[in-house]
Amino acid sequence: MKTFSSKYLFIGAVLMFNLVLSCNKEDISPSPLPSDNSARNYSGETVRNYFSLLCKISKSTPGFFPPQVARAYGFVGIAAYEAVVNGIPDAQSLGGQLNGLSSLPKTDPNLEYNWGITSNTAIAEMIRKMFEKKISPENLNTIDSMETANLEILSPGINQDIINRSIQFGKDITDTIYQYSTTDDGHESYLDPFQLPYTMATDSFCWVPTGAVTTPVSPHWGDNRPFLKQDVDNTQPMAHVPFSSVRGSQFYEEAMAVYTQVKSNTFEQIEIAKYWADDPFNTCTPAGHTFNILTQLLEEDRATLEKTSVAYAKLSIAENDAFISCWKGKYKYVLIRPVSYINRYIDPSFTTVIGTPPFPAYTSGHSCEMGAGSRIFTNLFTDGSGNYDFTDYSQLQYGFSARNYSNFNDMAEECANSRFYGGIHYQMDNSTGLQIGRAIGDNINHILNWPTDIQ
Amino acid sequence: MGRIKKSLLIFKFLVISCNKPATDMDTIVNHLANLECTAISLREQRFHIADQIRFTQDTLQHSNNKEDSVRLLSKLQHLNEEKEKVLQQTQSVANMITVKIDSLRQHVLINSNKRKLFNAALDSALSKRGCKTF
Repeated sequence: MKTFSSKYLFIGAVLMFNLVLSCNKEDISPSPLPSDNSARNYSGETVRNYFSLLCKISKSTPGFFPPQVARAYGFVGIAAYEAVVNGIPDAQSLGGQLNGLSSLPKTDPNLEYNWGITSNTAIAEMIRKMFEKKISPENLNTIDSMETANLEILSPGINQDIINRSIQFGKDITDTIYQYSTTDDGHESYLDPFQLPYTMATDSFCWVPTGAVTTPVSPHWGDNRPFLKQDVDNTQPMAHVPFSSVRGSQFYEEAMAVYTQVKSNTFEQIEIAKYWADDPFNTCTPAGHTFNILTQLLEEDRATLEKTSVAYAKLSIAENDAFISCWKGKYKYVLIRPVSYINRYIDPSFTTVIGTPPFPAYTSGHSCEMGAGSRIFTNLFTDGSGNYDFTDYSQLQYGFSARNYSNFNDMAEECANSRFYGGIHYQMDNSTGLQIGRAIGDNINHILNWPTDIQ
Repeated sequence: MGRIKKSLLIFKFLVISCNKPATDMDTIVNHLANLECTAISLREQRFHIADQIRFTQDTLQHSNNKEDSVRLLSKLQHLNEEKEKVLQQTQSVANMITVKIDSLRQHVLINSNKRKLFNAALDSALSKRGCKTF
């Protein structure tokens, strides 16, 4: 009996021990240095927190329109990746792979680094630099506090030499990438987002102001240097349907389709239009929304520093290049927005569901960026089918319902259609925009050399 | 045997503790639904103000009458003040919801099935309060 009792007590004790462990299960501890010191043995949580913070900073810093936001995320994402690339098995630096980026500082293979610390320093420093001239004291303080708090969590048990070396490497990476950023023609563009002077042509097919903003946003953005040359050179859209004000023409029918859609929108379609428009006053732009979705997916995945850094790097390159390619097309065609056309030729009293953004119609920025993002998500989280059950909770905080998806492609289609429901884009803007974005996403997944066994 | 029973009781207690977030689902959902109803109401106010601002700006652009222009500018100023008030309230509620969701993500929204159950419960709670958007 005593033997029986002891045996069960032992089993009970083991069960309880395991239970306590599983109850307290947290992300992989970042400190002290793991025995296998690779980025996959660190938590990606600190990086995800910085990307959540980026959304808040983008919203509250003047001059950050969608292209400027995508660019800021772009360089932060590259810094995040390069800070840990030497801690990822079989990973190759983006130096020598990205357009105009020759080489980057390398770690000493004979010395140890803490990848959590290299990442923490590089990201904090790059965010400060990307918003430097307009950042609010409050936002600056938040970045500094986050950096200090992370360092305090990451440092215990780590040799001071390793800490110092890791901080220095993070700074070296940021300095080099920041220098690279100053030559892309988008440097400090938030100081002059309208790139004045700019003269819009006055032909009847041309964009005209649709609200209080009388000059269009960033007309020369398409001349910026993309991270991948092919992302712009090989993705420019075919000419749109020929402009015509003649009733029954193909163009007239495109506009009529918008008009009919807005007049017959269901309640759900109106919600979808508002959901993807984010918010009239409170948005970190479509790129920020897509990054918020990635952050959520990585959190649900409890992604390591390795997977988190690779994921953000891919999306960062995709979003930056999607906006450059899209903007190049927008200012080549300078196409009139549906509301202006409809008011002129169909119904002077027509109004849209959401405000029309101040730049030309063809092609849709949302469609380009989400087309690219959906390809990155598909590559990161699926077997190539795009099938993935998830709920986007990112807009819940602003009073939008959480939305459920089972395929990333469906999500991208819904995002593109939302602009049609909103009355701000012709269908051709959205379908062509999606094609551009998907091509860019595929380029990034397949042209660049990424580590193959991301964990 | 008494010790075994005691061990099993402790084990059972730990199992219950470990599952506590699930047993508290109703409380969690109700709390979040209350916050979400406020967030939905604020969102409707923001979109309403945004519509008023853009329609007023449109009218102002086409106005040739000085008195009308003065009136419209004054209206715009008032709308912008309203906007700032609503934005402050929005941020405060958004912060509370974000903290709640982050916490849920650690303990409740841990797999696809649990997320589906949670989503359905939240939908139902919002419907009961008459503030579900669709």
